[in-house]
Amino acid sequence: MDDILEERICEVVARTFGVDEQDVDGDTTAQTLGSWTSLAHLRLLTNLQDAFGVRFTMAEMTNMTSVRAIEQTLAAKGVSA
Amino acid sequence: MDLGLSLHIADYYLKQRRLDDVRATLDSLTPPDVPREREELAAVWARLAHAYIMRRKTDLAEQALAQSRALASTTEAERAAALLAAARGTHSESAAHWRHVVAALPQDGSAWLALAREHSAAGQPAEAATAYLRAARVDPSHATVLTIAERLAALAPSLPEPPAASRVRIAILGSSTLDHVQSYLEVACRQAGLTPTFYLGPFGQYAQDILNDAGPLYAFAPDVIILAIHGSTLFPEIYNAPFDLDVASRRAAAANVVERVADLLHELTKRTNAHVLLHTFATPQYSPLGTLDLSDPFGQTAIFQAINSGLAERVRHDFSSVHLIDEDRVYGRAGKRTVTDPRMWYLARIGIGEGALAALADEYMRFLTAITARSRKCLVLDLDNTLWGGVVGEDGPHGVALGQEAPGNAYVAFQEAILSLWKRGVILAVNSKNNEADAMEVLERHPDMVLRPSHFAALRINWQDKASNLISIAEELNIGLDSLVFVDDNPAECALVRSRLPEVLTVELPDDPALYRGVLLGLIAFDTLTLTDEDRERGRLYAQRRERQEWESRTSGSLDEYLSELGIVVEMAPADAFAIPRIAQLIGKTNQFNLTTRRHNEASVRAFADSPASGVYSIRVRDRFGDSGLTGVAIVRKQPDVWEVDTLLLSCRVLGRGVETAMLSVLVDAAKASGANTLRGDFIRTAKNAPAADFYPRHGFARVEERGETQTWSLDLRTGSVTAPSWLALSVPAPAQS
Repeated sequence: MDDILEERICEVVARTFGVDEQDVDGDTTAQTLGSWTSLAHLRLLTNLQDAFGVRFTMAEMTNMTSVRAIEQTLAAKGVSA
Repeated sequence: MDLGLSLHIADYYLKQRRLDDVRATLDSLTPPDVPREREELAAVWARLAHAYIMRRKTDLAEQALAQSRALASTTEAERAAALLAAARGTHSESAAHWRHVVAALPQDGSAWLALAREHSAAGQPAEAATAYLRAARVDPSHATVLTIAERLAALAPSLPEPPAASRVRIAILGSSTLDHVQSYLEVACRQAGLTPTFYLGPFGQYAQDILNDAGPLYAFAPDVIILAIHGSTLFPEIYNAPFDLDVASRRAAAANVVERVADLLHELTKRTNAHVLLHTFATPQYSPLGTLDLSDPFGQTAIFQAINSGLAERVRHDFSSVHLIDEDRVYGRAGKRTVTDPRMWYLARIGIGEGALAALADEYMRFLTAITARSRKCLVLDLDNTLWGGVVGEDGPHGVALGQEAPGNAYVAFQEAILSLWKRGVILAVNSKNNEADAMEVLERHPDMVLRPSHFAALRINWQDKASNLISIAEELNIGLDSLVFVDDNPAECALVRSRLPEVLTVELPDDPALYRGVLLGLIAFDTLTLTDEDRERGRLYAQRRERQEWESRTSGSLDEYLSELGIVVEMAPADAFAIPRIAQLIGKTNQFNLTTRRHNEASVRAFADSPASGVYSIRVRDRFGDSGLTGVAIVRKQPDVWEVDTLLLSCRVLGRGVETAMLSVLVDAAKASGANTLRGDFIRTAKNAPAADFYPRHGFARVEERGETQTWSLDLRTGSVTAPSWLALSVPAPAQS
């Protein structure tokens, strides 16, 4: 896993859900982070699109429910840090 | 090595996250002497500190920060210090550093957000809320607004108790996912100084909510109900495949939609007097008939037009508490293709998306501003580079830009937009630094002026400061400073007024006059719920008023002589159906001579008027200078022994002439004639109704109770009485045969 990409993703996740950056890492998922609800997920998707300059498909949106999944999706779209 | 090159290398290592290499590079440099170079180096040390914080290496971060501060103070160092303080848990300290950052970078939304979070963590919810609202203003992007809405809602219970007049209870019902609508409204309301509480109906359950007498909607006791039913839910066949039906069936289907919505409104308004904001239906972007839609005798565009105009007519006739949100117009402003993101629609049934939410929230705020009596009454305008291009004192009255050619035509278009507002009842005034003669030459004689002196209720053309002029205008027109909107192109004048008179809405015009008209049309300040003949006449009434005042300043003699010469006639009668909209409007906006400030809406006034146990009176006043129109309202509750004055108010235009005494005398006589032995009324003190405080005691009423801001006064009708002043003529209808 690309360390810098993971760090940037964690920063966006932390900013979106209003938690400290130290509480988000590569193992964080929608299940482990209380403020990651389905409505808040939509906000995360908007922030990720803005931060990385990409647009997600419906299928990608449904699948990105963990930091790892987000990394994989972004990497597959050719995004590197 | 050259400092610039070293810093470049350090930045490169920073991007690569090779922090030890960054440190080594910076350590190897001797501190420069030139201040600008010291600042550059300090900034890179601060960025290193930031990177260490992200890696949770706080000790190394502290050291890097210390190095930075030893060289110079920079905003980056404040940012790093803020993050370090937050990591240590010292949130007030962190907030102090973030305040430095936003002072240097007021447009940095994420810095305002961070400041807000630190205030919140430091147990300072009011400061946090202010910072959140600032962040939303600076960065109104979708994700930011949604985040801030959530944080504000979470802070709400810890904020100080808001004044009752600012609270508004809003229910949102519809057939798609409307959570984001609530978020945008949460932020928009708070930015306007309102404190909203929300009830969001469960997905797709608007009908159940409306029909359930004992359910959560009515238990919530909303002041306002937003009803946004998506066309595809309500009439799917017309939405998707209207041309499977023949023309007659399509017409019938359209009429049927209007009936169904009217039924729903009937059920709703039966159970609540809340204002209803009902969405009309936006025509889809593409017709199933493609470009042949308008050639068809009753295509999709025609169907939607029939539905929307049918709905408008029904609402106009039958539902005075329902107001329409024109979806086509609002979404048109935003651009229809931004309204729905198909991914959000399919995944989450979000029918109103990112592109349209801001425009929709603005539209709601137009109604909410009127509903909460926060609409403004008076537009005060600068002259130079506002109503015309150039400076009349320098360019001469013939040299200003005003006419058919650019940029003069932009100013003409701006004046035309102002004139539209005047025709809707907005009062106009001038606040300009000029020699009066120069400015009046243009106002009176320039052929391309759209606005003339007779359009203005007050003129301050002098060399005094503009804030004092505004205070003087408000006094002359007898309205509050919070009723004024001040428009000027000069940033220094605007800044002065904003800081001295925060209650005035100051609008700073952009550099380009081509944009002026758009700025005025987009202002949320002058919307009202009704438009009466009174509104249409207001401009002329103010010209009369100016004449009257000029006459008064020439009159000498006693007060009684003067009052008699005015020839005042007061007409007081039970309100008829025509008067009720104007009565509701007066109730909504009269603040000074208002004994109880109970903001009954049109439906409630109608209910009072229709009931035999209550009465609504309208008061019209005229004098030798003209007819001031319907300027007073009285509402009484009638019991066999006791009549109670629920509402008694008078427009400030007609104060000081004994009209209120005449009103009271009519009520006293009517109460006596009905057999009652007591007339009672409350005086509820507000920040603005001091002029009404001595009304009851002055007429011989005795105070019988006092609870908090409310005093109850009473007159024994067997022994007491009120006589109308002798200088006015009082006209009441003969009592009906009962």
